[in-house]
Amino acid sequence: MLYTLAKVLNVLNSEADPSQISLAFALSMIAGLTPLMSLHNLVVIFLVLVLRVNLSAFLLGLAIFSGLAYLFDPLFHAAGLSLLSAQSLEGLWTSMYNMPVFRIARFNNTIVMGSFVVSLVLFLPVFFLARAGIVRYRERFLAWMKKTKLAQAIWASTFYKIYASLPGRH
Amino acid sequence: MRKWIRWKGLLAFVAVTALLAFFWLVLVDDLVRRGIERTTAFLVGAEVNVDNADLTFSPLGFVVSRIQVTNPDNPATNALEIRRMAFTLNTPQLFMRKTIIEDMSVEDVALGTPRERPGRVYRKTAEEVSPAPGERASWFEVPDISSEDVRQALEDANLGTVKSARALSEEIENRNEFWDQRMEQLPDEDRLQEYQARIEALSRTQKGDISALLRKGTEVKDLYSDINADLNLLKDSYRRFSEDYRTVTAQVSRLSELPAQDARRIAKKYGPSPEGIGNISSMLFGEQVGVWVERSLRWHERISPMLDRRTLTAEEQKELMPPRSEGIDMRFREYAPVPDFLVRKAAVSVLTRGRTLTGTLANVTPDQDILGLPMTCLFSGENLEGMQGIRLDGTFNHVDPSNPRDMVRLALDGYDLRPRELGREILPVELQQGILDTGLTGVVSGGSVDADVAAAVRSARFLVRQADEQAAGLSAAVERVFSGISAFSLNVGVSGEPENYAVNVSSNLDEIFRGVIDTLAKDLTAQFQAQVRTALEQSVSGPIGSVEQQAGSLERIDKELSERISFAESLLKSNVFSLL
Repeated sequence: MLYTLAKVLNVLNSEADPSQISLAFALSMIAGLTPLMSLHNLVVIFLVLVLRVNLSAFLLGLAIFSGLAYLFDPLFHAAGLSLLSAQSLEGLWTSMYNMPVFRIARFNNTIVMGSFVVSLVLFLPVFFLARAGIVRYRERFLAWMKKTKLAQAIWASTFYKIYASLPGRH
Repeated sequence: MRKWIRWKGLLAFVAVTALLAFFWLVLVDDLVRRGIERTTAFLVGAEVNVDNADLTFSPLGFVVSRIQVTNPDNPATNALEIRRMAFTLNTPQLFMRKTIIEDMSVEDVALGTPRERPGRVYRKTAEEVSPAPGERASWFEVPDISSEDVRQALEDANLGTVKSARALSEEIENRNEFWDQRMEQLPDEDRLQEYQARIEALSRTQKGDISALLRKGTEVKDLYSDINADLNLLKDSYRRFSEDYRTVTAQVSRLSELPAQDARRIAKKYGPSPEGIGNISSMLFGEQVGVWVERSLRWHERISPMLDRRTLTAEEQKELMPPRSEGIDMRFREYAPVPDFLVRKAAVSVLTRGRTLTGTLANVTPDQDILGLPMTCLFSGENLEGMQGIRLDGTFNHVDPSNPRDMVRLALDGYDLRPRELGREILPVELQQGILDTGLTGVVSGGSVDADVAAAVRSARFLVRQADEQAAGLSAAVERVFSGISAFSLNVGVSGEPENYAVNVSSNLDEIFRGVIDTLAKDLTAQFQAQVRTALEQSVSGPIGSVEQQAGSLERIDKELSERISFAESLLKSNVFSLL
């Protein structure tokens, strides 16, 4: 049982490079801020699974951004409405409206459009900020954390020994 | 590259996608079932239950079994129950988020079936409104002609006799006064006696010389002129007096006729009159017709959202704050416009009165302006229980949303009428049996409703409940008439705005009853008039007697003037000429 649990944790935390974690976090932002049952989220899930990104970070980010999405809902609606009602973009939207793939994607919904565009705009800043944050965290906070008694107790536990013995942990 | 690609993840993605597809397939039936329940409940305002919904792949469609729609007015029954409904979907259009049902069959629709448990009502429909009491026709009331009524009627009536008597009395008094004064100014008997004396004096004068003769001639001439002038004066006055006298006499004569006129007027105003009789058709059928109209309008109101989609303007979309996480689906021009929802053709079978009524519905969509075709329906059935035949066809044209026109035509043949109360308290009549043939045309267009019903009832039998004793005469007459009616026609016209319409009900019963009531009313009016006249003659005998007495004084003047004239004429003709 402990072995199985340790194996799941190992898979989830296998890609621990700051870039892999921050990319997962940025992708989770798209999936979290936009309505989950949208066509583009299938692409996001595809990327999360195919690319070597940290799955734990993705799941954590998804939980955080889903909560934030509810708070920013009116903002997304306003953004989507102004984009979809922009005269200059009407031709583009009309063309997309007549294409099945975009109709399935519900691009013409104000929340879908607003949240998707906002998350795309924030994608790179979030990626770089998260990456910088992880590096800084590892340099300062993790070193201090390793010295605490709680951490030393965990490392001394059977479960950690099993987890550490799994391939790819060193 | 290997550093960034997780090939096992591809397998995981396929597994996740397959899992999602599997769950979707497992859950889709339930999703559709709930979707039908929710959408229909929203439209009807009451609980809707669907037993089962099955997805079919070839062709793509659904088979839905047992749909129960709660009647919001009676939650223990279903307004509608459908045993089975099957439809096929246009698959390419589904990718464009369009629900296009090419073919649908709705089998065994039943109305008013009992429910296993009462359904929930989310939106209570407006209470049925009966025609306002003020709009109801009033029934002919048989009056109780008591002495008190007669006295009251005389008090209330502004009696012409009394007024005329007063005015005439005043006039006679004035004329009396005038002629009394005038008589004093006219040559009176003393003056005529003077002429007599002058004649006698002249007749005694001895014949003498020429000059004496000439002098006498001059005096006779003067006397003649004087008498003639006075006679003319008297005659002129008499002529004028005679005119006055004739006028007064005529007025006195008319005054004596006034009580009869007043009695007629009072009887007409306060007594029973056939003009006061209400429209019998309205009394008998008006309330029921009102209920039918209300019910029809309510059904029209219910189906209206299915006929017309309310599209928001760009401004309204900006102001609208949608529910959280839902947003607004913006609409853009379609290259090949197709309605969002459309049932091209639906074959419907309705179980009613032991038989099946079959029909078709076509072009059911809230986007008729996009489709360019109106929704139509046609139902017909024959040899139903209690009905020889029925045909219902309708066209609901909302192709131009700003000018919608909904039209329904209904023809019923040999409809067996069940016993029903007519007229309620106003005229307690029960239609015990009858066979109805009718044709109805109803149009709702441009914010107004217009309907015409032409109905004929045969093999009719009425029962009139006994009214109170006071109205026995009328009750008996009504009963007599109803017992003789075995067939009648009925025409109903409805026009106006749906919130404020007028119902006009007419039938040949109106004419039949008008004749009966007319005779009855005439008899009662004659009775009333006779009583009023007697009472009136008693009350105005005083003023009339006084007037007649005053008129008598004018007779005195007439007599005196005549005497003076004849005296003056005799002086002139016999006495003066004898002097010559």
